Amino acid sequence: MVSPLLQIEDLAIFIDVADGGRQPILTDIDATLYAGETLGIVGESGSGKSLLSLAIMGLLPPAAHATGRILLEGRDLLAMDENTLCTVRGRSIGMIFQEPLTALNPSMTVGDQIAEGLVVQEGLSWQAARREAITLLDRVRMPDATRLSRTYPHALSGGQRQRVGIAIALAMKPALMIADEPTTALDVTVQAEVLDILDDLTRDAGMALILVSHDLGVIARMCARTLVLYAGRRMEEGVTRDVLTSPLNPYTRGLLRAVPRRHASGARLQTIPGAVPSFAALPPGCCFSDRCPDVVTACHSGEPAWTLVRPGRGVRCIRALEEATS
Amino acid sequence: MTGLLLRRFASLFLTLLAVSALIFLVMDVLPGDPAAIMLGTSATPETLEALRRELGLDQPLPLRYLSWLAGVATGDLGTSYTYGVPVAGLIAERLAVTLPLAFIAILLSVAIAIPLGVASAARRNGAVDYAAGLLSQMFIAVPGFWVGLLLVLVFSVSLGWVPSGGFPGWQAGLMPALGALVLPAVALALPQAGVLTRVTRSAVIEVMNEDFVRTARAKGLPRHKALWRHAVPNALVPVVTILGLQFTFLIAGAVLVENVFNLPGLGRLALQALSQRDIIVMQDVVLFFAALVIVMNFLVDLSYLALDPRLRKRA
Repeated sequence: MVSPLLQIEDLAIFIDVADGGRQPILTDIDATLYAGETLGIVGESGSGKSLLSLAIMGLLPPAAHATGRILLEGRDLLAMDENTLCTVRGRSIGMIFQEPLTALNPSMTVGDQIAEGLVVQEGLSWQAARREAITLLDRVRMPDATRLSRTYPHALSGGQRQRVGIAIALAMKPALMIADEPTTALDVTVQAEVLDILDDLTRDAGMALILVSHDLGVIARMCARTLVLYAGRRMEEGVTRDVLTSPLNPYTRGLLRAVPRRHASGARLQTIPGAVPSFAALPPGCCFSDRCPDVVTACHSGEPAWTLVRPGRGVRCIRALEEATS
Repeated sequence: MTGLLLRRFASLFLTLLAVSALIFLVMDVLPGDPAAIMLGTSATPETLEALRRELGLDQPLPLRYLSWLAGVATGDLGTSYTYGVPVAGLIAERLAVTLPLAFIAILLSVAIAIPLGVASAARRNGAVDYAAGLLSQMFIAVPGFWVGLLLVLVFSVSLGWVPSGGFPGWQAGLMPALGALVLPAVALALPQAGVLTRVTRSAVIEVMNEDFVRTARAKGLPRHKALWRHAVPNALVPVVTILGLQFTFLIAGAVLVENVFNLPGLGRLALQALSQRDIIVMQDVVLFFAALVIVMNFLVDLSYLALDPRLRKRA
C-alpha cells in the first residue's frame, strides 16, 4: 500500500472580517494525491481555488486561518512551525504563480532568482547555483539560456518570464508542483508551449502536479483527475474524462457549456447566469441553488452532503444522487 | 547611457547658471553698502567712493555679474572684503568642517532610518512600529538646533564626554576632530532620520505586498531574508529620492547647527559674511551650496539606474 504524497483532510479556511468575526471562505475540503499524479482544481474567480493552493504552501495572507490537516508525506503542514515550513517550501513543494510579470523581482537577474533557492536551501555556492540555473533555463526551453540568465525580468517576454517561474519552482526538484493559473496571463500560442513544458518536466521528474485553473481546456489537457470548486465547496470530483464527459453536478455542466467551441459556430456562447455569491450572502441550502438551472424546492432546505457515488468519484448535489440511484 | 549623462550635465550646467544669476540679483538688492560697512560711519564720501571703485562696485550690474562669472569659471572666486584673503581658500578651509559634518549626519540618519523603517514595516502595528512612529514624529517636530542644545546639556555639560562646541581642527588628530563633530552631526541627523524612517516604512510595506516577495517565500526563504533581499532593494528608490531632497534641509540645518556649536564651517561663514555684507563671500558660498544640491540630485538620479534595472534600458 503506497501512502499518498498529499492528503488534505477536512480543510477549512476562515478570514478575519471587520466586526471581529471569522468568515469561512473554503470548507470541507478533502483531497488525496499520490506521487506523480496530476489533479486539476477548477472553478470560477472567487471559488477559493487560489487560497487553497496558498494554504498548501503555508503562505496564506495574515488575515486567513486554516483548520483541518494538510499532510505532506504524513507530516501535517498546518501544525508545522515556520522554520520547518521554510524547508518544505521550494524543496518539497514548488509553486508557479499566475502573473509572470509581477511574480519576479524586477531588480534581480533571472539567473540569480532561480539560483537563490539552491543557495539558501541546498547550501550551494552562488557560482554552482548559477550554473544550475542555466541548466534549468535550458530545460524550460529558454533560448540562449546563458545570456538570458544574466538579464532582468523586464527584458523578457511574458512566456519567457513564466518559463523562469517554472525554472524557479523546479530548481529543487520538489515532489509536488502547484501551478496557480500558470497560463492565464499569457497569449494563447504561448499558453500551449508553457503547458507543454510543464507537462514534460513534471512527467520526466515524476512530480505530482496540482493545476489550478478556471480553464477546463487546460485541465482536460494536463490533469488525470479534476476537482470542481464553487463558493469554497467541493462540487464534484473524479477522473477528468468522467467529470468532463458525464458531469454529475449542474454546476460542472454549466462550466462545460460555457467553454467556447469551434464547431458550435453561430450558436451563442452559454454562460452561467449571475456570479459566485459572496461568502457572507450564500443562499440557504445548496450554495449553487440561486444560479442552478435544475433547482428544486428540496435544494433550498439544506446543504447537500458530499457523497461518493463510487471510489474516487464524488459529488455534492441531491439531484445527481436521485439520478444515480434511479 | 552616455547620451543621458551628457544631457544631465548640460542641464546641470544651465541650472547652475540660472542659480548664479538669481543669487547675484538677490545680493544686489540686499540693503547695506559693503564699502560703508567696511569703513564705518566716520568715512568720508571720497574714501567711500575710492573703495567702491577698488571693489568694482561702481560698475554697472551686468558687467559686475559677468566679471564674477568669468572669475568663477576660471577658479578665481574673488577676495573677501572683510578677511582680505581669496574666497576659494576660505571655502576650502570651511569645507573641511562642513563636508565631514554633512557626511556623518547622512550616514547616521541612514543607519538609524533604514533598520528602524524596515523593522516597523516587518511588524506593522507592533511595538517597534509604534515606538519608531513616536520617535520619528518627535525627531521631525523638534528643531535640530534645539536638539543640539539639549545634547550639549547632557553629553558636554553633565557627562563631559565631548566638547560643547568649537573645532580643534583636523591637525589636532582624528579623534578630537570627530569628537567635536559628533553632537552637531546627531543634531542634524535626527530630523532627517525621522522623515527617512517614515518613508522607508511605507515604501517597504508597499513592496512587501508584491507578488515577487511571495515568490521568494515560495522558494523557502525565511521572512527576514525575503524582506532584506527582495522587498528592501525594491523599496530604495523612494528612500533615496527623499534622501536627496532632504539634503537641502541638511545644508540649511548645518548653518544653524554650526552656529549653535560654534563650528568654523561653511554655514557659519555664510552667516558672518551676511552680517558683514561681505557680498563676494556670500555669493560664492551660496553658489557653492546650490552646486552641492544640484550635484546631489544628479547623484540621486544616477543611483536610480543602479537601483532599478528597468530604467537602464530606457536610458
